[in-house]
Amino acid sequence: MTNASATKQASHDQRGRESRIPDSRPSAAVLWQIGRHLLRSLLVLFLITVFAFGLIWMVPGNPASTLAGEFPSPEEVAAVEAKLGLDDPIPVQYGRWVGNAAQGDLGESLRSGRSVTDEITSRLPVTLSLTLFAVVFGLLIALPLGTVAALRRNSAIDRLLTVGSTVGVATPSFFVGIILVITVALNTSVFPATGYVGPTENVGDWIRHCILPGLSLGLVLGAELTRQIRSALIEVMQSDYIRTARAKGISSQRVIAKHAYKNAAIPIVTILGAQIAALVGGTIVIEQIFAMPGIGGLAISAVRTQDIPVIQGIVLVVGALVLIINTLVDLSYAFLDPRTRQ
Amino acid sequence: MSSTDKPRAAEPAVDRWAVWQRSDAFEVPAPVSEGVETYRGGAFRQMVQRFMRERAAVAAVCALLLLTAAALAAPLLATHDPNAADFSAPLAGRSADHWLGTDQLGRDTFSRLLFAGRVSLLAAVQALGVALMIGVPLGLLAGYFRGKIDSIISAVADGIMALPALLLAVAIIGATGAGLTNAMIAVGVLFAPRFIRLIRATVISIRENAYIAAAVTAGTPPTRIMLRHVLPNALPPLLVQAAFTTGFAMLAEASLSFLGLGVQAPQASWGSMLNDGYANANRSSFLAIPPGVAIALTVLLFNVFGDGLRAAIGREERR
Repeated sequence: MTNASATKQASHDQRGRESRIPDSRPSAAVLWQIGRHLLRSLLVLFLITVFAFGLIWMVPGNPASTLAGEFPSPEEVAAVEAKLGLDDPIPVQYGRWVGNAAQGDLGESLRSGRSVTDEITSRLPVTLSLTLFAVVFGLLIALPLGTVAALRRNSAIDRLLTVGSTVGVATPSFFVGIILVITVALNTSVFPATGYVGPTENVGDWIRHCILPGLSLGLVLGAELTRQIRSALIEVMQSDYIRTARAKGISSQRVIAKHAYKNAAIPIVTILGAQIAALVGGTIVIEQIFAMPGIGGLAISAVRTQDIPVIQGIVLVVGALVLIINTLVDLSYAFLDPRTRQ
Repeated sequence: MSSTDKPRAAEPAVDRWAVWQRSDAFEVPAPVSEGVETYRGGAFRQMVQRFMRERAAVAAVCALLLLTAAALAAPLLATHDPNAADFSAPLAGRSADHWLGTDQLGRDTFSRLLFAGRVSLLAAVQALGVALMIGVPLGLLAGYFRGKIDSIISAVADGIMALPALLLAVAIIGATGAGLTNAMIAVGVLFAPRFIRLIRATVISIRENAYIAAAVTAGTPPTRIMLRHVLPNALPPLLVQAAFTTGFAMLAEASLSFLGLGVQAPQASWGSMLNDGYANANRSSFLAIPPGVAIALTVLLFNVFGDGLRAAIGREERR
């Protein structure tokens, strides 16, 4: 907490003892803020459903005859039409699709006939594990490196890290993945090049399978985060309250740990939230490289066979998940920065 | 900005008049006082001058021009036919004949890299073109008219930006079918919101200027105001965003072609070459390196170019 907001907080407490009004105001502001974020998220969710539903209308020509496979008989076309309910007016189709989706029913795959919801839920843990490992690796790389670069600004090590992170940001994560396969996975048996084991089956195997793909995404994420953490810390370290804290004789480590990180947290969390969407996109390719049975593999096979219900389900589920993460990031500001509560 | 400019703007007019009165007027350079909004050609020249001081960015531009030239001159520079298979020498190492070795079908990697560069660069520019064609008009509309149009356009743009672009691109390709053109249209559509946001924000700040109010008062139609007054002023930040977007589009093309959803054989791009390298990783550890380095290097060059441009503009705005 900053010195400025600390004094504000204190004065609020004092006034609060005199009357209840100043205490109730911030919570109303927080409620309004939360309400606004939720409204905006609902709007985006609506757009996601429109986009996912609309995918079927992007299929060139008559969707039913294209989706029925190669050289379909009229009966097969009619069967697909009936299955997707393409005869009804579009608003009716949309309402039915959203209504079913809200109850957890995303329809059936046109190819395997399996429930789309089951397909997605069985594969979601893989993609989530991968994302988790990527974020952990990204932070493990970026927090120390970004801090060193910010504290030793314009030094040789700072310049080296700047060049390194610039190169890292430009490198495709799947190229990193291929290099890791060639250099590590094919030469050692510790980190397998393919496959996945769930954490409920064997935690050790889960970690071993997730390390290389997680690192592929985490290195690129870490490069971006290093830049952001560096600039966020540099800005914070130049502020008056840091100078005051130093003048009071507080040790450097304590200043950084207690004051600098806390105030740099907001830009860092913002960037991390913004990177989640890119990260989930990156998992599609990384899952292919490490042959992990995640959402990405499902999406690719569905795209190759034009299995529209599966694609629609994936867009909706992944879109909603990313949206939830972004909303949580927005709401976390209220906890990270007391000033936004006032 | 406009409030500080107005009183100063009167002074150089008097100075210039005094200079013109003198007989040696042509030998005396016209006094340009600082802080005065000069003709846009002048502002643009200043930006170029500042950009020239960004050494890394200038080097990046030169390298990008070289790369483009190499891609255009691929038929002249290639040592072999990029699609000629030589089954007697699959996955050959580097040699005087094959500078970067051969792939699994014995095709020359160096020649393929040149021709694939054409495809990758062109694809990135295609996506950029689509993004600009959608983003700039919508951004102008949203920023100039505000109100309901703005709310709708901004909400859709925010919605698209909040979602994984690659997943959406994969989904669109799933509906429209695989292929480089479809892939790049999808990528362009998904990158358009970046331009919508940028142009909208720039237009909103430019609209505050007195010369826009003057143009409105003079009865200039909105389209003319946007094209003659607003758009030229939005150009510098647009250039910065365009440089970064071209880099992102290259990464997107590489990802999609790697997944087999972009370029289709026998045509090759750096992304599909990387896929060949990956597929043969257990037999040749080198095959994946040239296309991977080519992608990373080109994206890096676009990013450095964009950083330099941003620095050149940043100083101008701070003045």
